[in-house]
Amino acid sequence: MHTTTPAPRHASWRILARLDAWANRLYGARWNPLYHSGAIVVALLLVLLATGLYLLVFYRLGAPWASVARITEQAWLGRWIRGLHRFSSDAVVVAVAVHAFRMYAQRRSWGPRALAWVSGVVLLAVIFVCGWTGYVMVWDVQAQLLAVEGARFLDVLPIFSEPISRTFVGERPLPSAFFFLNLFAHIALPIGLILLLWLHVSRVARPVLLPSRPLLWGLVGALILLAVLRPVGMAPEANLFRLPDRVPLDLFYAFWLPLTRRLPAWSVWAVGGVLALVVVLVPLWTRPRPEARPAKSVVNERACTGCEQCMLDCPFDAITMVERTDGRAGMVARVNPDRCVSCGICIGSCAPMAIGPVGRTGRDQLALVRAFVERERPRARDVVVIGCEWSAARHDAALGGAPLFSLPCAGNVHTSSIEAMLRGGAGGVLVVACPARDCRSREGPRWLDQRVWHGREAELQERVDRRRVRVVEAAGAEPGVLAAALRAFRDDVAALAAPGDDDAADLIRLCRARGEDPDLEEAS
Amino acid sequence: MNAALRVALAVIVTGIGLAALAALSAVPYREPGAGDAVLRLSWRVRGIRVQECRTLTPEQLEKLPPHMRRPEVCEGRIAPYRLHVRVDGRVLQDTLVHAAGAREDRPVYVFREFRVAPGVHRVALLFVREGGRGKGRGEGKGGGEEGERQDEPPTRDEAHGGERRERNGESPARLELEADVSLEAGDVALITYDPQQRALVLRRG
Repeated sequence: MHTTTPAPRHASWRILARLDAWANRLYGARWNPLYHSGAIVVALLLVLLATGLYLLVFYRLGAPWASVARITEQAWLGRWIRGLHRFSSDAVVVAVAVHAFRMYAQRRSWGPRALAWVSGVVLLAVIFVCGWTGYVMVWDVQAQLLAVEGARFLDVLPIFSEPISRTFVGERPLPSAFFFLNLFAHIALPIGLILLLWLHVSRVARPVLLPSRPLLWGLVGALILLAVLRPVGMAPEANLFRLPDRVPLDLFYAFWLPLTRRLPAWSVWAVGGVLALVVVLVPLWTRPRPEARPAKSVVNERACTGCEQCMLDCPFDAITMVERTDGRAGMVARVNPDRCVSCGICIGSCAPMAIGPVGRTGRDQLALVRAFVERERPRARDVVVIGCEWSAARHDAALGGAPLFSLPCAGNVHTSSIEAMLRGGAGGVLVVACPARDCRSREGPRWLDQRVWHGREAELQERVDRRRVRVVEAAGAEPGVLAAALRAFRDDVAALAAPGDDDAADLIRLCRARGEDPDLEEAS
Repeated sequence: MNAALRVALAVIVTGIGLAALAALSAVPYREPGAGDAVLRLSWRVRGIRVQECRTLTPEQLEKLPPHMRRPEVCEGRIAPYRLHVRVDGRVLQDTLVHAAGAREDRPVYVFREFRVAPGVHRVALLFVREGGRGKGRGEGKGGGEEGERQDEPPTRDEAHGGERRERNGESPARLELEADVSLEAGDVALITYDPQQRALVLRRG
C-alpha cells in the first residue's frame, strides 16, 4: 500500500510507543495521560491562573518575601494553594516536553504543522519566562540567583546603556518598581500565552483543549494532594551582600543555572541561540525528501456531489465548499493544499470516492482491495486485517498469519473496502486503529467508529453483517492487544455460520430490492 | 493484568511521578565557590566631554549640502577612565573603562566582581580619568586628548572648568580607595561611589 509518512521505525517513535504501551496498561488508553499531554498543559495553565489570582491578593510589592512567607503560613489555604501553583507550573514543563516529544516522534512537525511546532516552541519560551518572573517574585535566594544571572545575560545585549546587573549590587534597596515590573511581566505574559495558544491550534478543526473530566480532576486532585503532603517551604530571603549558599533550585525552570554560572554570558547566548535554532528548525530537518512527501488531497469535481461530509470530517479545516465551475448547480469541495497534511481522512468520508490524496482515493483503495482479495483468496473462516501502519498491525507476529491490508491511518478505510473484503470471501474483517487520542491524523479512529457503527457518511452499508466486522484499538507497541483481539474475533467468526450461499444470496436480493447494483464499484 | 493490581500499580506509579516532581522542584544546589567572598565594584560617574574639532577644506565643504556647511566639525565623547585594582599587592584589574553608549556619550559605569578567599585583604583601587585635560562640557575645542596631569596645580582656566564640572554634577577626575577589608565566607563587600562625599566608599551588608 501507499505510505504517507516515513515508516515508524525511528528510535524516538519506538521509545514513545513503548512508553505509551506501558501507560496504556496502567491507566487504560482512554485515561493515558501521555495521550492528553497537550490538553493537560491547557488545564494546568488554568490551574495556574486560578491559584495565581489568589496569591496575587496577598502579594505585596513592598515586601515580596515577607508577603509570600505570610501566604505560606496560612496552613489551611495559602500554603497548599501556593504549593499547587508551584507544582502545576512544574507539571506544565513536563507536559509540554511530553507533547513536543510526541509531535517530534510521530513526525507531526513539518509541512502545514510547522506553524503549530514553531508557535509551540515560542509558547514554551514564554512559559519559561513566566516561571522565571514567578520565582523572582518570591525574592528568596533562588530568586536572587535567577535575577542576577538574568541581568548578566541581558547586559551582553548592546541595548542597555547602564548595566542591569547594577540593580542587584546592594548599593540601594531594590525599588518596588522592579517588583512591579516583574509582577507586570508575570501577569502580562500569560495573556500572550492565550494568543499563542490560539495560533498553536489555529490549523486544527476541533482542538481538544481540556482532558476528559476524570483525568482533569484526577490530575488536579493529585497535585493538591502533593501540595498538602509536601508543602512548599520558604528559602532564606535574598541578601545581595551574601552569596547564596544552599539554594533549593527548581530544576524545571532553573535547570540551566548550574551550567551557566561559570560561563561567559555571550557563550550562554551563543549555545542557547544554537539550541533554539535547532528546535525551531525541527520542521525542516524532519520533513521527508521531496520525492517521499505524500501527495495532497485532490477533488474529482465530476464525481463530487457537494455533500460537505469531507469538509465536516477534515481534522485540519483544509476543505471548503465552493461554487461549481462545471456548469452544474451546487457546491463542490476544494482542498487547500497549504493546510492539507495528507492524512487521508477524507478518503473514508466520501461515498462517491471523489476525494483523497493522489493515488489514495477510495477508488484506488478499492482497486487495491480487489487485488488483495484476489491474491490472498480468504476463506470463510479467515479473518483479514486492515491495519493502520502506525498501530500494532505493523507486528507480523501479532497477526498470527492473518493477511494484512495496510493503510496510513484507520480513518482512511472506506467502508466499501470492508464490504469488498467480506464479499471477496473473508469470514471477518478486523480493522486495527491506534487509540483514538493517539491518532496522527487526529480523528481517524473516531470517524471510523462512526462510519462503521453509527451511520456517519460514508457509512458501512446495512446489508453488511456487523458480526463479521470488528474495530480494535492497539497502539504501535501493543502487539499483545492485537493478538488477543484477533484470537477472540477468529473464535467469534468461526462460531458464525459460513457466509455461504444463503448470506450472499440475501445480500444480492437486498441490493436488487433496493434498486442498487450489487456490483460494488458501480454502486459506489 | 488483574484489575486491582493494575489500579494499585497506577497509584504507585502516579505517586512516584508526583514525588519526583516535588523532588526536582527543590533540588539543593550549592554554588561553585560558595565558600569564597566577593569584592564587588559598582558605580556610575559622569565624566567630562572631550571633543576633537577639525576645520573642513573648501573641497569638503563643497560636498556637503548648503545647510550643513559649517567650517568646523566637532566630534565629542566622554573621556574614559582607567581602573586599577590591587588586592594584597596583586593586580586584579588594570583596564580602560569607556563611557556607555555607541558614541561613548553616556555616563561611565563600573561593575566588576572579584572572588577572593575569606580573610582580611588589602584593597587598593584607583579610578583615573584618561585624556580630556579637564575640559568641561562644551569646552575644549581642539586637541583635548592628552592625559590629565594630576601633579600640576590647575591653571586658572582649569579651575573655572572644575567649578563648572561641580555644577554639572561631573565626578572627580581621580578616585581612589585603599582599605583593609575583612571578609567571611559568602560575604560581599561593595565599593561604590558616594556622590555626596565625591569619593569611593566601602559598604557592607
